[in-house]
Amino acid sequence: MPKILVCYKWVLDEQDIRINPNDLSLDVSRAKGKISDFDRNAIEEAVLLVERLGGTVDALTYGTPAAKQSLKDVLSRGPNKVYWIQDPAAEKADAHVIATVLAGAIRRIGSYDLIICGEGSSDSYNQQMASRLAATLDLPAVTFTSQITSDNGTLKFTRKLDDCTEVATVSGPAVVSVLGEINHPRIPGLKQVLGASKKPSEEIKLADLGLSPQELTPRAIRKSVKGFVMSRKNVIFKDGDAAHKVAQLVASLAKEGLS
Amino acid sequence: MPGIFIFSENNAVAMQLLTPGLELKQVMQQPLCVIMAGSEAPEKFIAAGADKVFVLQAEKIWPEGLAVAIADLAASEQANILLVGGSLRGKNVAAQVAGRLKAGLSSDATSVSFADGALVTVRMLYAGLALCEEILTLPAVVTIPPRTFNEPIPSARLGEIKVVQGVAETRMTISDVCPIESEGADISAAQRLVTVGRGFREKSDLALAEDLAKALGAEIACTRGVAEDYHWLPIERYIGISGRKVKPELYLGAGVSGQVQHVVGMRDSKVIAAVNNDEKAPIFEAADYGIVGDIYEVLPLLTAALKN
Amino acid sequence: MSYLLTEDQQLIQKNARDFAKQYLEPMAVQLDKTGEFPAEVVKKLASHDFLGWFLPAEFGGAEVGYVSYALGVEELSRASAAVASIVVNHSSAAYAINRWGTAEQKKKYLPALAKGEKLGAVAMSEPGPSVGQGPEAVIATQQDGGYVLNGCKCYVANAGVADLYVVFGCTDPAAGAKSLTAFLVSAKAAGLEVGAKKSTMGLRARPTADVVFRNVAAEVLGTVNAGTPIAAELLAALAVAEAAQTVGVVGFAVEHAAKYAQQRVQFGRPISAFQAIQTILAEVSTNCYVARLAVYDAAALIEQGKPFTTEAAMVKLFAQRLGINSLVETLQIEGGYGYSEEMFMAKLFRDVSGTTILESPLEFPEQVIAASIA
Repeated sequence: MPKILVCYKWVLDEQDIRINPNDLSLDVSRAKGKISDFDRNAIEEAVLLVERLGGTVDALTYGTPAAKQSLKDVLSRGPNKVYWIQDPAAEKADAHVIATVLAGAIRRIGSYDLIICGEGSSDSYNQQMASRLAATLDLPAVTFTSQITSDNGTLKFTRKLDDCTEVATVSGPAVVSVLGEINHPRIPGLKQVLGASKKPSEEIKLADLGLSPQELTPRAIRKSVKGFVMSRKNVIFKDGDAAHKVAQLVASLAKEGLS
Repeated sequence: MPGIFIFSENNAVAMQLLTPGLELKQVMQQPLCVIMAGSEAPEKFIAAGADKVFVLQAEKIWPEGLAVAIADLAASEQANILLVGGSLRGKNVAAQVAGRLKAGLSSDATSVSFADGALVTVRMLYAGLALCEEILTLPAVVTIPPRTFNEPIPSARLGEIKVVQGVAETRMTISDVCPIESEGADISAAQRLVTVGRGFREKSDLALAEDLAKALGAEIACTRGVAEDYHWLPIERYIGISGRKVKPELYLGAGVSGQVQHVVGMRDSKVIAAVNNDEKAPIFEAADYGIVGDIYEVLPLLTAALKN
Repeated sequence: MSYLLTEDQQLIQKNARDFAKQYLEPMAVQLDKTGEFPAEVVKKLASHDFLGWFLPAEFGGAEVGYVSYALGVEELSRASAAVASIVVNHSSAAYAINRWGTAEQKKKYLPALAKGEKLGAVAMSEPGPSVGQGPEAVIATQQDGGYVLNGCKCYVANAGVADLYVVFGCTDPAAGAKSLTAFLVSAKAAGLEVGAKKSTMGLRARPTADVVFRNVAAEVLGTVNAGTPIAAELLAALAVAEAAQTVGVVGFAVEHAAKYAQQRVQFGRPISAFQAIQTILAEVSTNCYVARLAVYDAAALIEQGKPFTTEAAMVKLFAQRLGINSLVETLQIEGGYGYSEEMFMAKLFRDVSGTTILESPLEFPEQVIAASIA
């Protein structure tokens, strides 16, 4: 009957982000918020584990005040309770700050058998959170997990790495990150959405975590963000018969020094 | 000694990281050190430019279990920068080290430089939609994707080799290590690629692309749909945001529409060419050269023309 | 429009959109080609509570209110108006029982409908000129302490897959519409025969067929001879749901056409740069925006238990014009590309016309509106 905590992030939907053509800056004005994609897998995996083995699932997030929109969304997906810390400075927080705040909150909330994160967030995709939390909380980290099975009460984590898979078994609590392929998050039904209102959410004040200003100072700062635009030659051959177009392409490749 | 440190559980990648390491060493005027585990000869790191090599020895060499040992070593040596090979294992190690040192970590940096007293990296945001310049305070950790840099050219050099005892992670046991069946060449190393997309009607039609690849001296790659939906090619051959990233000299897409998720995986290619019968296909915006035409007609003609 | 919606409504809208993307989008074109009833998808709809939207929780419904229902219908319609139509017609029958059923009837019929274990349908149209007129009109005669129905209903949506029918018949042919009464009929009742499935122009995966009644046992829904006001309100509520469908289809068509216009290059420019195209897209988008607001205003009235038949008629009138005209325009934008059968826009055109059809003269919106402002 594991006691599980899922850490998730409320991010801007990258599909709504536009690039301003004049200066390549990002226009996020139309971007709606969403639970980061792989965090949805993390939530689903936690809920699936508890459906199989019993236990509870709590959720935790650190974000700007906009993250309040995530609370009902998360609760409708299965967790029993959600904790959240809101802070306007979260927008500029780097992975170090986020991990520091989350770890501080976890120490305050209590101990868990399993802490699950997505393998990386859909906005910055740093792929750091689980490992950082593990180091900060002095727990083992099991990252890039593609499957979790229970063998007589012992959890076994299959990890999918660049060139191999391996199975990790942990004695005691662990921090785990999961891959998107681990499951297909179910879409909440109407009753689950309504049921979310009956579940508790608790705000934790950042000031109550006793973190120093130094600890809350980002170590990585964004100096500039520019939309990526492909600027290629765009020399497209569309006139004439196929043989003609092929000859044109071959000539161009030769000019580039390619055969 | 305060310096620039390098770690990768893969020695070839560690060698590649000496290249940016040497640049940093030049600018910062600090020694360059390599942390390694395993039994390979540390001397080649010295030959390639390292001033000192720390050989970590532990009871069990499971690379990620050495994260604490690496962090402690970096701390005791007052490392300013730690460059880590950006394999999945490497990213795990790097983030654990950063967590332990309460340091910043820039992931998947495609460039790293030191200017005005700060470390500057460039990396992707929003699934490749944007590029971001990050400034990190020191000490800082950076993960760099394998094959971003080439190995430095070795020379006769002298340096220090020190064996260090490390305590490995004991709370985890690893078992059932199974290599992922990789059917064929590693496309991320190929200099030329012919990439097939859903413009092909049947699996047997891929022979047209294979003939072209032979004529070009290229490897075959594909889009995600061809691998994951059609299963015409193994998933190791698909290029995309969730697949392989490639930067060959020549990328030629045949029957590839050019969706953003695919283009992100190949956009650093030197020359991009495409053949597609839909002139509106997004690939043409991402290409240097293109032919609007039927791949069934164009590919054989192209193959023949290249053979001459 | 999100500022008008509660948190719950926004979540429901998002979930419906995700559901449509995951389950409906991949099969919409195929369903349209084969016209096959999507039994598996209906099961999935049921498991997400999408067949009991506004039904009371005590009967197993989700009780989310008519606004959430309309939002869900709009989102489902963006991907497959046919599947949404199955839901809408089923929900219409459920609405009738919930609104006019006795406590026993609600307890007996609603739970299975709410959970999607049974499907519902409403049988209104007849071959004759008006309900109650003509040789095949459905006539209800008293028998053995109850009623039996004789006659024919045509173009019944969900016919053949429904387990329960809400049927309108006249108890006294001479009195005509004044004797119209609503009845509940089990699909298994002796003497009920569902005709061959019709091949319709659009909404093809939603079954449509004639239903013939020969001495079919029926129980009264509401009170005897109160069928006309019942039908009027039922059709008005249905009109709002169908208008939500129309808005869904049109909204999607506009986006599809706008994307096409950005990519299609003629004379060196994307056609979205030409004023003619810009004018069309602007008009269609504007009408869609206005229609959407009207749909949700009417839905809110229904949800709050306020009178809504006039607003529903206005919504119907506007959506009818919006539907066909918008699809003619978006089809124009896509030109030959849109006209060829493989292309999506042609299917949307056929579907949208199915969402704006009039069921009965009781519905003629102009009459209802004129009467209300007289």
